[in-house]
Amino acid sequence: MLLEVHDLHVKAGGDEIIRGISLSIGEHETHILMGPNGSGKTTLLKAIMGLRGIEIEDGHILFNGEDITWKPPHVRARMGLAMMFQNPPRIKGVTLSDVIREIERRYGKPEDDLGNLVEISSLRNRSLHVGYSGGEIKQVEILLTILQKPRLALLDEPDSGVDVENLRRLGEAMNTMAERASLLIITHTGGILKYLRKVDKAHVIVEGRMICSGHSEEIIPLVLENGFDGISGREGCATG
Amino acid sequence: MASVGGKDVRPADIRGRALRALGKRSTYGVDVDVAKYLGVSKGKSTDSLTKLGIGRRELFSSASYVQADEAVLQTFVAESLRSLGVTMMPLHEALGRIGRYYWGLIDVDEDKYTALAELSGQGVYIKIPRDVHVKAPIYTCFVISTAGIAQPVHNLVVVEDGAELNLVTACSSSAAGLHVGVTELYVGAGAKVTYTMIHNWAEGTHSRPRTGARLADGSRLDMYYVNLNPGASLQTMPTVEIGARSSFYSASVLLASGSSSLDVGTSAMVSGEGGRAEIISKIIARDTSDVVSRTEILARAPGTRGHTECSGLMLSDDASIRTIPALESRSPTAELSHEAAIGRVDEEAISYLMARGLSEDEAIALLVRGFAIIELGELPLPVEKSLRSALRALAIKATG
Ligand SMILES: Nc1ncnc2c1ncn2[C@@H]1O[C@H](COP(=O)(O)OP(=O)(O)OP(=O)(O)O)[C@@H](O)[C@H]1O
Ligand SMILES: [Mg+2]
Repeated sequence: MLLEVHDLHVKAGGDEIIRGISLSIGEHETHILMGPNGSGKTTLLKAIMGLRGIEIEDGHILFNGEDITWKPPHVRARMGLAMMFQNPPRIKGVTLSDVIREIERRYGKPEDDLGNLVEISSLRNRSLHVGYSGGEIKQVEILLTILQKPRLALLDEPDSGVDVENLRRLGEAMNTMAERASLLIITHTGGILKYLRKVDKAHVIVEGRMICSGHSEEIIPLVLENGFDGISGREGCATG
Repeated sequence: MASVGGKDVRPADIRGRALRALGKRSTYGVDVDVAKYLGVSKGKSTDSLTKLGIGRRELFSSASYVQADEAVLQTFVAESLRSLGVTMMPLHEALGRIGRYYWGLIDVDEDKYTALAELSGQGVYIKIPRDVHVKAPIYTCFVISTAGIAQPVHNLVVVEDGAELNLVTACSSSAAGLHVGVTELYVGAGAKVTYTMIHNWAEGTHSRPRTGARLADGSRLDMYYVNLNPGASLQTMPTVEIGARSSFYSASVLLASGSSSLDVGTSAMVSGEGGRAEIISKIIARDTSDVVSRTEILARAPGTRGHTECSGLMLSDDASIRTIPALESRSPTAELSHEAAIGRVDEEAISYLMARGLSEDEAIALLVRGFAIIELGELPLPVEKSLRSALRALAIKATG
């Protein structure tokens, strides 16, 4: 397994947000993560990435067999984890070019020509995410994530607030990534799904618990049609 | 306002006022016992200047004045400028022709430091005649190379109507001393001036710049101030008077380190209709340094605009920053605003950059560099380069 999360309990702002979640992702697998607003999806990704501001209470995280539960984010990043942020910080004075340069210095130049994946030339000399439109933030986040050449990319709502044309491009970007990496993608609408070549599994989080894990083609239609009520215990749903 | 007779003699009344003010403390900043610094020395080494990226090429491109300790090492004006009437000479040689400008913007007896500058008789006079545009930067450099000495100078800069000047002042020291730099800057109607100050003092140095500027109608002054090392103490509060439809922009970035004590600020008085002032001040404080940052805009005429922005970045638990922004309006049609913020490096941004592969120290270094970025207006390329490299050096020093 590339990623193994075992019975993870996570606190944020003093409250227990993740209440015992387990999850395994193999090499070159694409997983979808769904769940209501505030159910803990972003918090789970932050815990896997090791970001500050959340506290791991119990459980552990293995990446490529190595226990990374207490490793700082940059060590995880260098091991091959990368994250596309749902709400990235706005960083005044540090331009997109600056950040691209820092990433390329560590990960080398990109193997693919990313020019047609994301259109960022007009943003290069602007402070990172300061005053960017919603769609621009998504494009930049996916680009930076790709530049890190991840083995596992954590993608937090790549498809929210994105127009059809950009959605198609983001989908292509993800397919390119999926050739070399595993993906864990949070989506509400499933908008990105029709552009993805391959999806393996889907998971549903409600109130910090994984109430359903299984084959994506069984679970996703259930959620999109019926919402989250009554998913648990349905056929094809395992609990983790 | 002081006025001076025709002869190149230091006017006795001004001298008298200076002598009487030698014990007068400044309103702000820690007090320096100037008597301790009254040794005489003729320094020679200007090595500390090269660290600021100012070498022969810069100094001999248009005009330059270099003083080390009390010795004037160089006064150079390119022939092409000389023929246009551009003047640069030691101030004492110009006394006969600068009558109404001499101590016209700053009181000679404001404090012991201005007094000292008058009594030392050193400094430089620069004049750009009417409608002459000097694009290439003119440099004035003040270096302290002998420990324990005072370097009091009085500079007078006159940019006549419609003229243009890009002035760069580089100050540095390789030994601890006392630097007092009085600068009076007259910007004529329709004239355009950029004034860039890059300072890097040795540990233990005290500096007391005293700057006064007056902008005649329809003129523009952009002032940049980068201080990589303020030494033991620094107190300065340039005052700028802004005429009708004139605009003043000031951007400063200061790094306070060690146990240095800073009291810095800018005061702009917009006295002409439609005048504008914008003051941006950035302070980075580390170690046990202590900084007071004052910004002040006084609107005295209709239709004026003023904005001040002061941000402080705390890199240490033992440092302190206090910002004192003041706005005062005497016109209902004046628009004044201020923003101030003090904080440490944003945790969320550090965490984000770490997730992109940067170590914590690398992330902080990048963020500090970003904090120190200031918007640069139109500047000659070499000046822009010097400023950018000074800002980079400052960020490296801040986190190193
Ligand atoms: N630092 C924090 N302090 C306090 N509460 C927090 C913090 N971080 C997360 N939470 C809370 O934890 C819960 C889960 O948040 P999270 O961002 O993980 O939800 P999500 O599933 O990603 O929701 P959405 O679909 O809206 O993005 C929310 O109620 C949120 O307010
Ligand atoms: Mg979320």
